[in-house]
Amino acid sequence: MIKVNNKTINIELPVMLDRIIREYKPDADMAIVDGFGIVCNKWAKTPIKANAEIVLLNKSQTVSVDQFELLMSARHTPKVFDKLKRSTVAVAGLGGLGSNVANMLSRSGVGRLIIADFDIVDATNLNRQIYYIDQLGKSKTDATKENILRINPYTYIEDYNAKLNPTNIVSILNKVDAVAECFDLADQKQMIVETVLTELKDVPIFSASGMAGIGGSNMIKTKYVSNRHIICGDLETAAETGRGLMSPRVTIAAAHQANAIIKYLIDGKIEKDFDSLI
Amino acid sequence: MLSLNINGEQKVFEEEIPQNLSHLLRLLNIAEEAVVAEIDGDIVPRKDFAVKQLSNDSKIELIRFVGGG
Repeated sequence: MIKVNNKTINIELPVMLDRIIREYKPDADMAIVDGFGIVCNKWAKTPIKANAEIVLLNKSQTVSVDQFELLMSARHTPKVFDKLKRSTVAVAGLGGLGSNVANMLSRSGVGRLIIADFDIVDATNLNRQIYYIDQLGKSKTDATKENILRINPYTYIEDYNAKLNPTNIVSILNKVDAVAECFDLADQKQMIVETVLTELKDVPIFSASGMAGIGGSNMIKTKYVSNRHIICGDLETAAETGRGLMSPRVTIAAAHQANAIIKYLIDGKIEKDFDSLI
Repeated sequence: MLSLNINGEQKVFEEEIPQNLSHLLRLLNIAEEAVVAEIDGDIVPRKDFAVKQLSNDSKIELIRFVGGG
């Protein structure tokens, strides 16, 4: 038994991919088997195994909304998509870190995002934050929501256009699976990490510290602090006069956060397989 | 004398003995508004830094944040 475009098909195995294509979607110009795209000159040499999940697509055809999610899930390793789809992640702060983290999580298929920021998009943000000229002046929550829905309209978004503090963090973030700390100021990072670790008993937080300037990319690490706290960055390079935040390093740190979050959502736990901070 | 394990390293205070967590951070020259502190496995809220006393051989983890994001 195999699945082709989400339909269960009983076919005698082994069978080669090219036969499936001829039979079920002869106009396909793209084939993805268990999350991996197979180039067309390999179709006749690709054996299909039991329980394979195959997605066949003609790239020039318009995609219905119903088909869209299937196609998105096709690029994921099977079962990964379902776990991410059921997950809720809070992105606290939508600047250089948060706009990137939200982007990556929605592309990865995380089903629910809670996004929070009190600020509006201004021209100085565009050097590193995922916003566009036509969004200047909009609240970052509205602009992020707009951008995410252009990537993955299946993302359920709750947005809070407000400054987070220990009181509203507890009420807004108490049911999430994970929190991405994406603030700018060090004391605000301290505030949310302390609040989540002390007030939200089972929620892990993925924070970031040290990603200003143009120092080495490889200095930015994912560090294990505890089974509820991961910290990403080089841990020392603060943004300050003469050393601003640049797109590459901020994006690298954000990608560390997003990757650690996705790994946690799939594994269900934070293991000490990252470098330990202490 | 007070001996503390700070971020995995043993540190002995002989002259000026830190009376509380705030005092320790001052001696270490660390700005307390950017620190999440854990003593013997428990997070110490920042509002309690000034009253949190330190006992000999306590295991202290200090997570320091720097600005930028």
